[in-house]
Amino acid sequence: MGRNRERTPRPKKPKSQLAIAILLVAGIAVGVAAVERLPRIGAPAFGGGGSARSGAWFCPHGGGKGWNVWISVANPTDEPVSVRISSDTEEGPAAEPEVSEIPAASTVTVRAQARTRGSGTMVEYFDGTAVAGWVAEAGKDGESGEESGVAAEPCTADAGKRILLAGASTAQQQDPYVVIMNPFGAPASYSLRLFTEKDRPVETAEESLRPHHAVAVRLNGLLLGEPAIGTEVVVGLGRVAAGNLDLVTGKGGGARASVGWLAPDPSESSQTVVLLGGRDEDTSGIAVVNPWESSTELMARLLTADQEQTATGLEGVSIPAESASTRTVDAQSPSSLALTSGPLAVARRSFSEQGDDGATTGVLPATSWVVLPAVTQTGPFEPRLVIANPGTQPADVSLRVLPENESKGGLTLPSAVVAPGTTEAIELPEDAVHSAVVVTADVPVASGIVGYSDDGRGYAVSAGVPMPS
Amino acid sequence: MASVPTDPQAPAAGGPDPRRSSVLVVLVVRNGAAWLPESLASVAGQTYERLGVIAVDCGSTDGSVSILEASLGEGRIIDLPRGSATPDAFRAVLADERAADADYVLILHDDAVLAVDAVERMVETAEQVDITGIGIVGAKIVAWDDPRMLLDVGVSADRFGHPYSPLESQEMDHGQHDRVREVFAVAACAVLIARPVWTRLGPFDERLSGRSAEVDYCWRARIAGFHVLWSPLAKVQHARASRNGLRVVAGSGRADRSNTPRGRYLEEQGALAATLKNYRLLSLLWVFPLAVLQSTARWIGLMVGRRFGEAWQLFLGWMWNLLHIFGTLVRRRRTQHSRRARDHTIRPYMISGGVRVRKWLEAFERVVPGDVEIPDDDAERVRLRAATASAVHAHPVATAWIIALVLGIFATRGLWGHGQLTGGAVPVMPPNAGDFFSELISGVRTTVLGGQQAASPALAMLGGASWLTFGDPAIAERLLLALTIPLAAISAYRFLLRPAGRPAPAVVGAGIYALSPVALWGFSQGRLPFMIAFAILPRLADRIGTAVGTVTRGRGRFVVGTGAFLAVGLSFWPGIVLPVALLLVAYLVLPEERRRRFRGLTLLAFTAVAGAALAFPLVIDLIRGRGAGLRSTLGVDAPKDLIRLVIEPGSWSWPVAWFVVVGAILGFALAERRVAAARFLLAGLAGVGAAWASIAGYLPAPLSNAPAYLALAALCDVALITLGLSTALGRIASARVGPWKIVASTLVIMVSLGLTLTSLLAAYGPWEVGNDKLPAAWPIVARSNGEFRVLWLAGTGAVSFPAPGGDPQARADDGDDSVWWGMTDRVGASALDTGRDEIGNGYTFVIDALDEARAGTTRHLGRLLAPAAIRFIVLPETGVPESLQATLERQVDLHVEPAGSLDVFVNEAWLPAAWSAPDAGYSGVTDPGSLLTADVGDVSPLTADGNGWTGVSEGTGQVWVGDQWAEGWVIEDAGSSRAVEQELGWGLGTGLPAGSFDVRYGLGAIRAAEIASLVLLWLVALWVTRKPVRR
Repeated sequence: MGRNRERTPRPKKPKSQLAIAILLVAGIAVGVAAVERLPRIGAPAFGGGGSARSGAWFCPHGGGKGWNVWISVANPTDEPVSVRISSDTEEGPAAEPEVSEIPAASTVTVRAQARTRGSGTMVEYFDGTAVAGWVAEAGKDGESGEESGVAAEPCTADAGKRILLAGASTAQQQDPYVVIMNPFGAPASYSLRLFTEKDRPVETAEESLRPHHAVAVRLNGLLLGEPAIGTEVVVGLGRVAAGNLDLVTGKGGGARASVGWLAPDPSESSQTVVLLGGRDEDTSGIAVVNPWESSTELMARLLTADQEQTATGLEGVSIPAESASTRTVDAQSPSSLALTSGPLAVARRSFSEQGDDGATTGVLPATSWVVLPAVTQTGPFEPRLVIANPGTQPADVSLRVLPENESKGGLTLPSAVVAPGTTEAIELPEDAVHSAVVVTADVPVASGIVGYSDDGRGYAVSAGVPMPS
Repeated sequence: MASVPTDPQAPAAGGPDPRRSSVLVVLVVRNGAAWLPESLASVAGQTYERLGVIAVDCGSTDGSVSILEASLGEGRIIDLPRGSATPDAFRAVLADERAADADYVLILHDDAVLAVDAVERMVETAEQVDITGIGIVGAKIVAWDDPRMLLDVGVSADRFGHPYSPLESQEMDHGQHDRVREVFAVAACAVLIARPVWTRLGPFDERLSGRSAEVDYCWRARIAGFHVLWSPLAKVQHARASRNGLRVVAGSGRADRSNTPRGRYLEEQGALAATLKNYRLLSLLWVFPLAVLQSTARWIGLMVGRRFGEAWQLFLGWMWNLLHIFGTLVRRRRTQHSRRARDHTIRPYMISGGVRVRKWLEAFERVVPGDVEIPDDDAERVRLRAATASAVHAHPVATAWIIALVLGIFATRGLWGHGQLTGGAVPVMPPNAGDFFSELISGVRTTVLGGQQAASPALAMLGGASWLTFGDPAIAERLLLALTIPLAAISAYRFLLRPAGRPAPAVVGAGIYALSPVALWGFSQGRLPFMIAFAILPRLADRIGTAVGTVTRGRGRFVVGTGAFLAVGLSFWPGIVLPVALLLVAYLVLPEERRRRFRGLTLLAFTAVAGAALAFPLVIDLIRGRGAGLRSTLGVDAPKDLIRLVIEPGSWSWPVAWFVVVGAILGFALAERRVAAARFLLAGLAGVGAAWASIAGYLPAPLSNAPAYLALAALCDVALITLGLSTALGRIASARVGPWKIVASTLVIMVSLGLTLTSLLAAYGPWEVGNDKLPAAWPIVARSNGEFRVLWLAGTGAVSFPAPGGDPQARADDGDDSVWWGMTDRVGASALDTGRDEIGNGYTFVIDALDEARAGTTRHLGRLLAPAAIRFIVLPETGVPESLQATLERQVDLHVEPAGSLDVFVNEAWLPAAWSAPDAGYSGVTDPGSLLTADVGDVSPLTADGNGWTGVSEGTGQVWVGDQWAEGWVIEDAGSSRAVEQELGWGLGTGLPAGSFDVRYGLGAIRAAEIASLVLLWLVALWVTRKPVRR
């Protein structure tokens, strides 16, 4: 041991290494702090995509015995587009999907299956752009003979988890439905929250909806005698698209339709929606639903044929939280309504509660619209294109008709100028009544269509669809 | 020359006592001229009177016969042919009439010298000990040149007949064994056998030799009811001339090694023969299967350890028994006929289980350091410590092994069970061992999107392991994973022993390495490929040190051996080359000797070539993929975590994990070997820095691999701790109180506490892998029918996908909406893809499709993904960018399945991986837009048959296979064959022939030839690096 101890070197002076170690700790601490501030360099970014264009439109039109429903599909582009149209009813898929090609700059109208009240149609388009809307003619040849009227709306691109519908009424002679369609391959479940003027929202039990099925919920069976009902469709499983179908019973009956909105983010700042006008002289009902937990205040301007006016009866009205309300607005000429609320409320304008009249939901102004036909294939009808300019600059508007079943590049109508704060109604030529119209303006406008029938049995209002990007 | 008594009956001077028993000494001679005179003299000088001698010469050529003739006269020499041995000699003597009158035969080897009273004492033991039926008496055998050193104090055997000596190596005689004992067997170099024994048993089994013959004969004697005693009173010096190769063949001048290299063969041959002969049938029914198992395990161990010579001998031993089974059965009948004792009465003389465990541990302690050479003075210190300190200090490796065993049993308790190991990032094993080999020789990749990528050679190893575990890859996976931690520890120990210079600090360092946060992360997530690379890394580090250091014996063997290690690491986890390269730089910057740098670099360049050659199909793909396969996407962007070796948060990232890095700094402060300490410090810091740079995007993709760099940092940290401990443990007791002692004490206490707490954590077993650890939502995917693929997406906050998605393949950047993505088959990340990346246009196609959906212009992502057979898109429940979620929810042809823990989007437009359709299919499709309108119609899935696909058509339409196209794909019908074209820029599509058809890969022979070459290369490498036969 002694010899071994002799051979063992004495410990070297450790001070220098200790000092280095201390410096090392300090260096590491500084280094960590420094590198945490350095920017990170990303991996290769996504390329941007955009070469594959496709989409889908959901048309919760509803139906019934003897109903006729037409789906108009317009191709506003210069290339043909492939579409697939599939209709679902309460009994499931109505038929095999119909695949067809829409020629460039044309409109194709097909008949949809709508034998049950809960009926809907999905229009998918591939490698191009297409826009779809529907016109429903209630039970004209039906057995009951009690249902009549025409309803028209653009189809919606929105299917999701939370859909808002405004404007139903369960007052006397009103028979409103919420049409819910599930055109997807997976089951869905939903429940309804019904907002009224006075009470707290009523919630229904969750119901399931099988794939490729549609259903119509009769609101009279849930809340009777309410003059204003706003509906929120709350989806548990899957996704659905939904719309209102209001039937008027008595005095010849009538039908109105409006599609639902995907519930916007409540934090969104206030926006102005335009509720397009209809008849020359009219008292229209403005139904507003505020699903949020705070009240919302309305500001409304009437965009008449001549000038902008304050919409008495709506301006400054406060809609309490989680409630619905209906107010009336009188107009002396074809007029639209620019409605501003914050947070955003969902509004619908209906033009009469007696007889057949129309209804439309508010739209956000845009510079380019595709306006789809709002008249039935069985006529005679007089459609009018409605263009409202809620802005402060005059709008130079050009119009291009997408003729039915043709691919000749479209028919151009004379251009128009829409003064700020006014609404312009343009009569369409006879050969364009079943055609979609592309409305292009240099400033944001709102555009839609109103369909009249000579015999008063058919009246429908349908907003246009902003041109897909 | 001594005068030797030649007739036991003949009266000597004064006359022998006729009442005493007569002893016939049988002197067995074979080229023993060097020892024979002394041996004869010792016989002549015996105090025992009734003694006779007969010599048996086994073909000596060195003059032994002349010596015998001079001493004994011609008449007392029996000549046997060359190659004869003790059994033959005994048999010859028993046949001689002179043995008929002897009461005892004393077999004595020519290189053994009897003490003057040896025969006297042996006879006394045989006749005066109070036991009846003593048949055989052995002597205390000591070394010829050092009588203090014990060579034999009686022999035991295990249950399978393998001899076992209770002596330590070079054990000195302090009288510790000095009592007459019953033993299982005794050495035959000087053994006294009573007449009843040989008259009942006959001679030795002449087919056996050496110790096997002794054990067998004594065993048979015990069966026949005789006792076998060992007497310390009879002392014999033995030169062990045969064993030590000291016998010289006359004329040639070379050693007679006719027996020595065949030690394992003789042992195995004799052990099995004895087992078959000597057990009763009932005992044999359980002993024999165990013997088969044990021998198989030993054979595998020898093969794995590259001791091919010994493995061959073991095999030959079994073959000998197979060929001589009839002779064995004949002898068995004779043995059983003489049976007087039951097996269980003999068993106490066999070695116990405890002794066997100790034997294994000692063997382990010998094997673990391998060829690491400790400097002489350090070795001396180790010996002194071993002699004086506690058992823990004396046997730190064995102690650590026992602790590790107990810890391992606790830690892995949750891993054992039925079915696949699941959870974490554990790769899914194929159902059969053969699947590994099928993939290995397959001309094309059969997983995910296929293509020409070769399988990794690692599959051969996984297949071999699966084959050994009864053909069940799931068992192999569990075993391999469980073994990675101890293998990492062993590997680290061998690396650390050289710089530490003593076992104890190296053991502690190895323990820390094996339980470092990096190791626990890899183990917890079941990252078998990473863990194997992690275990190999210290071996490669050791080889780098050797290459640029002082030890370079056998350069060819070194290059091939190191290349083999590198190839194994590469095969399992190609990223291993990155830390190896970084460490090499550290060694070049701070070498032990500057003048050896160039030579070391040259040596390592050859090593790299050897490694690349031994993994060449994989290396070609790595080059083809521009090094993408080296990259790993794993790691959290948190420098504080990276410093303490945390790759991603988990139970291993607890505060205790700091002890490794703090210990490393303290170790650096204490280390005496400053250059080595500076080198490890440099490499460790570089490792952490490179890990962070990988995650932060500062390194090119092929160099980005945070886990690899952190593994290096872990190794360097433990090296610093080991260096510090090595200094501290030697002097802490004698050092004066001061900064040095405070730092040293802190290091020791902190390391002890840290290691203990980490061990407890490991024993608790908080692993992400185990049984039934798949997400609850996974059955939605798993239970679906058909052949499909899964697209995995996650936010960049995640490190890996939920099980069984494995690791992300790449990142697609879009600011805060960036995502990880990856693809798997329906089973998840497969072990068949060990070591290989996903490259090719097919993957680009998939991510481009996702890109289209993210751009918002399409709502039919399902259709775009259909050619790649993607049926499910799986996302973790949390951490996914809202925009991605919204994008997927907008898709018309995708829907979310309701399930917890995962968001599973189902592709309603999914098509099988291979199909035929009567329509145009994807023919003429050139862009994603036209893909949306492709006329696919009703498809008929093709049937996969292992070599491709088969189907039937009416003659129109198209066939599509969603695998990446490669030159060589053909479609065959009854009479013709034509090449399959490339569709969509990546897949296989072609027009349909009429009738039944096959889609086949026609160039599979090329891959088969490649694999055959690889096998050949490996055989050469293993042969070059084989280990010599142990004597």
